[in-house]
Amino acid sequence: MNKKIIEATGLTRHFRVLERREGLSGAFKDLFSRNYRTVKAVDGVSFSVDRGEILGLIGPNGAGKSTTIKLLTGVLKPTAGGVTVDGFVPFSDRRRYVANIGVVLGQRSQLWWNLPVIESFKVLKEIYRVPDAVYERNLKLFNDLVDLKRHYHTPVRKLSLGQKSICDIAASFLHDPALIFLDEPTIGLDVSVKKNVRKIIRTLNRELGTTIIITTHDTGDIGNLCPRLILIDKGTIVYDGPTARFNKAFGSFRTLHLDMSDMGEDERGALEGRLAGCFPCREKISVREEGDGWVTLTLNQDEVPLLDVLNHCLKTCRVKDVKIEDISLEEVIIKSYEGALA
Amino acid sequence: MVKRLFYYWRIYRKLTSQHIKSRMSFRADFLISVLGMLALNVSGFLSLLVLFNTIPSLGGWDYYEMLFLYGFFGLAIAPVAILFDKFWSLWSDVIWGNFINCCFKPLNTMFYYLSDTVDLKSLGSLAVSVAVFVYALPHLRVSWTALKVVCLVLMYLGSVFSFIGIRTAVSATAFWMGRNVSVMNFFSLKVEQFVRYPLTIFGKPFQIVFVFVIPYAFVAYMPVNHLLHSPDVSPEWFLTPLVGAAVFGIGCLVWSLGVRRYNGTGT
Amino acid sequence: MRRYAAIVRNMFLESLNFRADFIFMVLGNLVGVFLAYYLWRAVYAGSGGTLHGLGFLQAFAYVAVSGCIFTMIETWAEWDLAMSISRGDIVLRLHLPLDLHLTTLVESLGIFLTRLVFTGVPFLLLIIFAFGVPVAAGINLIFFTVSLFFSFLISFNIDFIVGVTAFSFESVLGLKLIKDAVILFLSGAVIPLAFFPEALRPVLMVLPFQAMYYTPVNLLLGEKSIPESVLMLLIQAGWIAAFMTAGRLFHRKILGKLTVSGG
Ligand SMILES: Nc1ncnc2c1ncn2[C@@H]1O[C@H](COP(=O)(O)OP(=O)(O)OP(=O)(O)O)[C@@H](O)[C@H]1O
Ligand SMILES: [Mg+2]
Repeated sequence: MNKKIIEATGLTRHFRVLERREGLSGAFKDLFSRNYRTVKAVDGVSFSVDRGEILGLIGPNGAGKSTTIKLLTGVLKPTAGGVTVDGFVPFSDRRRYVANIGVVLGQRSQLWWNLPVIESFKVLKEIYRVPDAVYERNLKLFNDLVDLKRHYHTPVRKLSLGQKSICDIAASFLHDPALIFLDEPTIGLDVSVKKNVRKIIRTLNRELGTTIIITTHDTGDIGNLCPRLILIDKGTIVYDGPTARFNKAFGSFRTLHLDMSDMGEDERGALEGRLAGCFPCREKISVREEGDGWVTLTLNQDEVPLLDVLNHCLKTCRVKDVKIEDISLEEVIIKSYEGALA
Repeated sequence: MVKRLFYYWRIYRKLTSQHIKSRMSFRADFLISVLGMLALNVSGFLSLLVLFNTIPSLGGWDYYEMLFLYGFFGLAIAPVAILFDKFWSLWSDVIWGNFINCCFKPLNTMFYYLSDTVDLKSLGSLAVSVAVFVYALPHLRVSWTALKVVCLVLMYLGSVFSFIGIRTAVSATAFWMGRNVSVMNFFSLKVEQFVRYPLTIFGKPFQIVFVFVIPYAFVAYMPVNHLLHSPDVSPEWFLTPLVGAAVFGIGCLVWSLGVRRYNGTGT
Repeated sequence: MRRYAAIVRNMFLESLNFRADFIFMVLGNLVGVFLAYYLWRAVYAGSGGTLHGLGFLQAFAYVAVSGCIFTMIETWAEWDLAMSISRGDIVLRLHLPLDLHLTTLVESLGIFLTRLVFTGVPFLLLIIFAFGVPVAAGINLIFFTVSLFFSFLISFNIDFIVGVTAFSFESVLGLKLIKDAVILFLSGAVIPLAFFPEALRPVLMVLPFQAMYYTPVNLLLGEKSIPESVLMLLIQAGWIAAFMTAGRLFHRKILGKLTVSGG
């Protein structure tokens, strides 16, 4: 068996979108002539995935993650380039191909709205012709991980978002697919449910050897789950490599949000220069205005101690509130272009 | 092939029985909607009654012939109304992206899309159609033979499949246009209200369109006209089943083109 | 007032946005008019000119103009309302600092006006000039315009009642079907009232439905004297008041009982 399960070369997908004109007269003009614009949602992406791997796809909104998933699952036809998954060309062999994969879309459920959960499972069992033994084993695996039995007889529409997400993931694993695509499976879930989802994914990968492709905004998903990640921006790959290296490059970065709405604009503007003077380092601390009086500092803890910077700010400025976070994806992208991952 | 049919049948049975069960649990809902369909169809029947109160015949068809045509049309469209009801929400599933789930299943997309919904309220119209059909039947001046009965059944199947084909193609416009409610309404509320009358009363251009372009003529007028107005079975009678098969094929083709187009945009 | 005007404008823009949708609506009316023409020509084929005192063109006018009015005043308000109640989006509307009844009315009005401009007027002109329907050109045209708005208001208020009483997708569809079928049939929009049996006609004239279709067409054709016309308009206004009052009562009751589902 081929060790590589996915091989994509120069995968490209463009969309033509209608530009609507504004206002009443615009609507009239649109009735008669229309303007189109091309969006390069995925633009020449090449990568490969090994069997049994968990791969994370991350990127800011509109980066092209979902489009990539749609290309890999055979829903969309590539504009150019090609991909084979487990020996199939997803788009052309769709029907045979999808018997072998599972798909979970975070925002939309594949379960039947009005059916009790267990009935949905039974229908899926028929559709994928899952042998009884496999079906029982997978349900048991799930019940050991999260107590799914409780919800068996509840119609899907009455489940909470978190319960629905878990059921959806269970549904996509029922037929022992060779690989599973999860598009933002943790979107809108709270911390404990997120943890559960990660636990399920990790266990299934380990026990059943399922290859998993997961897209997310949440860097937490990546750090906890995927040994390897691909960072996408504007339809192209910015980084493809071990999560460890990514973490090493960005793990020590922190963003420091300070509420300085009591200070004048020019006072805040002077902050960057002052910080550069006080804390000389290779990469100077970036300062960004949020527009509502909040200021965002991004700094690398390997170079300057976070606490020193914070202390300095507290001493020299009137700070009303403080928040400390991991580096945001937007900053990661900017820094990657500047060569942080090279 | 047979195995595949059984496979599909098992899935279908499972989904529809669940669907019916969940619908039945809203009893008031169910009753109201069946009553709605009854009202709609009874008012159509009453219109004919009122009309024929004044005139003896319409386009050469007397009251019972007209009722028979009306009933036959109702019977021919009933399978679509009951089993293909989800076509009405295709546009929203395309726009809001729920249709994408059909692409992830190792099944025919049209089958999978339609399989979880049965429109029970259309049983109301089916009931009215059966009643009208049976009421008109004994009053017809037809010398029945066994062959005619067999042909009638064959033609009926042709009508059913013609209508399935037409509706499939019409609904599949959603893949290109998105919101296609007006197209659906155009056919179901306007055109289909008229094609249950004798075709000859409409102008030549309409007759040509209904025979050659959108073959509504074969959904009721052609078979019923043969049965009522030709003394014996002739080769023309077999045109309806043939047209049915062809139109059904075209409908499926348009659908798959539509799905391909959807895959092109994946909205 | 400005806020409500903004809603009208938005609905107007929205319906223009679906170009093909729009074209098919126009096409649908066109084909509907032609097919109705042929149907009624066939009805009159062996009649020698008049049936129940109506000439062919008059009977055709009743049916065709009624069809035209139907497409204008049928704004699916009951549908939208019931859907947003059962889906829970109604909360969004209730959060706006606006009156629900009025907001819904204004939204419907936007649709009605769009239809009026883009299909109503052209089709009326078509029916009148291409088919030569005998329309009287006088003060009755003003009566007709007023009565058209009244028809819309009656229809809207009935829709509003249906919309707030229906509690789910299926039941609103069922109620809508019953309502439209009954109204169209009993108002003489499908078969002119003159064709109905003698004994039934007084009953039909007492019902509110004839005010929605029969009245405006009758005024358009200018068959009644001015006092009679004014009386017909007053009757329409009476029905508006009745349905509006009922709608507002229901509205208050329903909002009190609202359990918002869906998350
Ligand atoms: N069907 C479509 N038609 C037109 N443009 C599209 C279509 N689908 C996606 N796009 C565009 O392609 C780009 C990539 O979209 P995509 O959904 O893949 O982003 P994403 O990375 O999944 O973002 P998010 O994190 O917000 O889900 C976006 O600019 C989007 O507007
Ligand atoms: Mg996405």
